[in-house]
Amino acid sequence: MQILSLNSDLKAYLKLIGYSQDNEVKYWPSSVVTTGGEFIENVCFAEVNEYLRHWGIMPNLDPDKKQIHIQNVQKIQETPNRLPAKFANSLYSEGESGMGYYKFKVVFKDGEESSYVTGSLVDFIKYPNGYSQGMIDNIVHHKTNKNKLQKNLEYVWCLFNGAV
Amino acid sequence: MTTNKNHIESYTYIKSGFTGVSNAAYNKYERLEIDGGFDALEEGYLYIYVANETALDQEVYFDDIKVTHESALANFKVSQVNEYYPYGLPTANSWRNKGYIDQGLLYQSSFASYDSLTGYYDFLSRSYDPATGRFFAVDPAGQFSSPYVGMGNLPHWGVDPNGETFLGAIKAIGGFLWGGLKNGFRQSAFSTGVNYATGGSGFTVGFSNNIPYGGGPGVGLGTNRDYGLNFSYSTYGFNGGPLNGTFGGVSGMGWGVPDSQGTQTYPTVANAAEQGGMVYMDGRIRDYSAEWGAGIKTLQMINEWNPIAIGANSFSAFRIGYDMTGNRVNGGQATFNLATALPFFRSAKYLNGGIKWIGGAFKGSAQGFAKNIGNLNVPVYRVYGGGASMYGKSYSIFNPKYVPGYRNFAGLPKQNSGQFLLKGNVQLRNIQLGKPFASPIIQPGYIKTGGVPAELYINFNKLQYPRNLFIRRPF
Repeated sequence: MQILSLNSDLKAYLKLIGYSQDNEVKYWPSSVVTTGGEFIENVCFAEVNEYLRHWGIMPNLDPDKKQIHIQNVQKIQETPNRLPAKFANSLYSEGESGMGYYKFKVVFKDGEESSYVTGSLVDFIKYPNGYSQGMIDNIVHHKTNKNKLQKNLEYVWCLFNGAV
Repeated sequence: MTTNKNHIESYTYIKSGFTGVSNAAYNKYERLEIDGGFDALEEGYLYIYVANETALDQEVYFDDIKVTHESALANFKVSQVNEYYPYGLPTANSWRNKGYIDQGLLYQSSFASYDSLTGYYDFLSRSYDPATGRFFAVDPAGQFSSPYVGMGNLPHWGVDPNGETFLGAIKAIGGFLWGGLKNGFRQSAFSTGVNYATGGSGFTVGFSNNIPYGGGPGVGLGTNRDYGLNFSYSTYGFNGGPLNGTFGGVSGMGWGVPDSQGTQTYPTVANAAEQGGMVYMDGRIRDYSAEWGAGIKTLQMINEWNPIAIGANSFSAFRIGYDMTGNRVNGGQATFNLATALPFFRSAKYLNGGIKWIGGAFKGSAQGFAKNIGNLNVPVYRVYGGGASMYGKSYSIFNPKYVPGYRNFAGLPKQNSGQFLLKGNVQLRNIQLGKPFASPIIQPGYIKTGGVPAELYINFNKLQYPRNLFIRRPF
């Protein structure tokens, strides 16, 4: 299926959300309301050419990826599961912990810790109960506490063509 | 005497020598010696030739070729010996020493990884069956009338380092350098045991035991802090380009030819010591694990039971690569102080030829050594898919196809589905050390053993010839 460009409304949504960046590819981790009225909590927007150079394979050709087409998106909004771009960029800049995955700890301002093993996209994390984005103090690269390991969140790709 | 500086193209020519055959070799063996030859003070190579430089259709048999070497290294030992039929099928004479992992990157190039289970080679572009001398897939470059032939049916004449680039003897010196310097003379490697045997990991041992680059200097990465081997030796330039057309088959060559010693016996482990510490390169000593220690040693290049025949205007070369790092530390040097050969010919009463050597060193000594090593290419692999991207810093030198249970071996979490495989090459200089080793990963409902330091950090933009291999079962 052809990958379409963003319409002006969707561009405006993404500009509000802001992006994280891993080398050449930019990510807009968001939630989506589809044209059918369905709410999808974790959707990652990316420009198709940037995505392909980085991920190597289109989502529809990888049985372990999910995808929603841009023409089926009605509204984009912030997701509560987002790792703030500042911390995501720090992880991307540091580099992955192993082949296709990141290990890291999130340290909250009250000293609580939460550990994660994510794939190459670190922007969606499951926060412990009672914690949210604004309570993050810092992150620790390549370290995890197995007793504090959070489950992984699934996400859906939404690719578009052209600039935001 | 003639020397050819092209043979040491990127190295600084230092010295050469030659002793010619006389008519004393007519119908009997003549002892040739090059005495007081060569002091190796820095990293480089030494080539030993036996040559027949006569245009007459007259073979000369050379027997019992040795080089005596003196080193301060206390832990000099043999790591692996490989010998091939012309199309790359390993002979039964191939062996490796105890304590060393098998190194698959042998025949043809550093790209051609040999799978001892299937008996196939994985070239960069195609898989190859050495038993039939045929690739399994068509030639992407369409070089020959048949798209499946290996090395254009001329394995003695050239090399095909990646399955789509045949380098024939038309580039005689180039082929020699490609096949010989980089890849061809890869039959054996002597190395310092401590660097490899105690490297501490499969990665370090396998990668640093010098085989991917023939007899050239090895490379120490990971826990191998001594930067590779201190001395290496290789012989049998099988398929190393134009040399092999003259060298013929190693195995069995010369059987039935009058033997200089008059007898044909076989050394065994039990009598190895009686052979004066020599390791004979026919591979029959398969368990020679004792270290040689420092002192004067003799490298036997053609043993006294198997003379080789050198045809008209031909030669056979042997190469010794030396890395003086360890010697310098010990305040010493390696001295190649005697090369001998026993030529023999029957028909003509006088021939040109003899034994030659050329010594050269890497430019800039240790820095030059590091520079040259850094230019070497190694194949690297990355599995990805699902939550794992193709782009990333982590790669493995192990081809996942040939590592059973690769997921656990590499400590891959479930976020990487392993559905896809990226293969590329990287120059050693672009491998970033210091990456934290893969550690065991425990996730809810999913436990990985992992923990093997199987990965390297590489700048993706420095990856050469990246290509996705076909979609396959997940690793």
